[in-house]
Amino acid sequence: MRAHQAIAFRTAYVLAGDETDAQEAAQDAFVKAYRALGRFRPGAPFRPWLLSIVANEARNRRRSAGRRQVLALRAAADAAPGDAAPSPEAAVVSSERRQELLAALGRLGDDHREVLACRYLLELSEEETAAALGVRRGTVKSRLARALERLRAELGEELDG
Amino acid sequence: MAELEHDLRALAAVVDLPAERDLWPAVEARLGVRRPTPWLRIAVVVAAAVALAVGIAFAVPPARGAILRFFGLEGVSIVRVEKLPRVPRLPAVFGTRTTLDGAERRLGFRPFLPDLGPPAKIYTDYSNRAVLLLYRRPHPIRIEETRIGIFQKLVSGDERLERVGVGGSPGVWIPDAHVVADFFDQPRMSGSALLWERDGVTLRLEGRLTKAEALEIARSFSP
Repeated sequence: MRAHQAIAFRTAYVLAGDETDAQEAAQDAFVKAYRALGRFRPGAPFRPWLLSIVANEARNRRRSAGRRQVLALRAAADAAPGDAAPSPEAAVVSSERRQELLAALGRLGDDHREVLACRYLLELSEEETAAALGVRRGTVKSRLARALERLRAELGEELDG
Repeated sequence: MAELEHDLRALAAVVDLPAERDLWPAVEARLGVRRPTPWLRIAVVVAAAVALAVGIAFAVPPARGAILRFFGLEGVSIVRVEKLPRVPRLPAVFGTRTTLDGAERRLGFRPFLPDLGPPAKIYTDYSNRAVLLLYRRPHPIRIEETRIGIFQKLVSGDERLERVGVGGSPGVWIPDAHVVADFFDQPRMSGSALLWERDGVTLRLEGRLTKAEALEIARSFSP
């Protein structure tokens, strides 16, 4: 269980948009998952099952808090001079591009931002994303395609304009 | 599009999501897990993690058809695999020591007892879903009972499972070594075992017993 707490907490954060809510949601989800172990289908992958419980808890909290716009994403502070070199992944996206991307993500609707965050920022699989968002895998695919289109539009990268 | 996806993936490395935190102490407290000794705590966490990960272990045979639940035993799930997986040998975890009355309060039902006198030790698991009865005489015997849980078993391809009746209730006899995931321990190797249901409670009897001995004990359960 402990091995999954990082992804559970981060998924809850993406969906609840608040650190305290995310922590409570993940903890509640672990308690419920532990008590519901008997209903876990042997042979089924475990992480999607856990994430669906986490996501439910997180969404409930967001709803009860009445929040609409969630998840203020920021890039970690750029390395100060003298710090270790940035990771290869960080180095290939310029600081300016990061800010653009994050700002554009912030302007998307919840559905689009969440599917992009699950797939790219949390690096969840399609199946895990479907479980976290409470939708079918086919919906993840189509929603992801629309979200990418929308993001490109926000970034002014439309092919036709 | 490919470039945008590439940049989003790269963003994952630098996006400022909140730092990981240890959620487990609060979870543990709410599950009523006591913290008697550090090694036990570690074992409990390992057991919970392994029990949760049992889906992965049980995913060894990806074919759904290998899951056997046709014995009329709702609380038993048996998966037939080509080769039994290696299971870790970890310190045994028994749960919370209690009495029959204590077990009844926690579980919501009075444990059935065999006609072997009082158990040497009684434990409930940390989620209060199952009771464990340990007997020393006449043989070392381990009995588990649950109303809201499920016993998960891995048996090898050539293991012969036998459907049996215990006082008119359905049961299954597993004559050879197999892997069991129960409520008290990490998945572990078990010898022969008898499983049956009675009044909505799933019972599991394990010990160095022949089928006839196991059935005789099972049929002696009361009330």
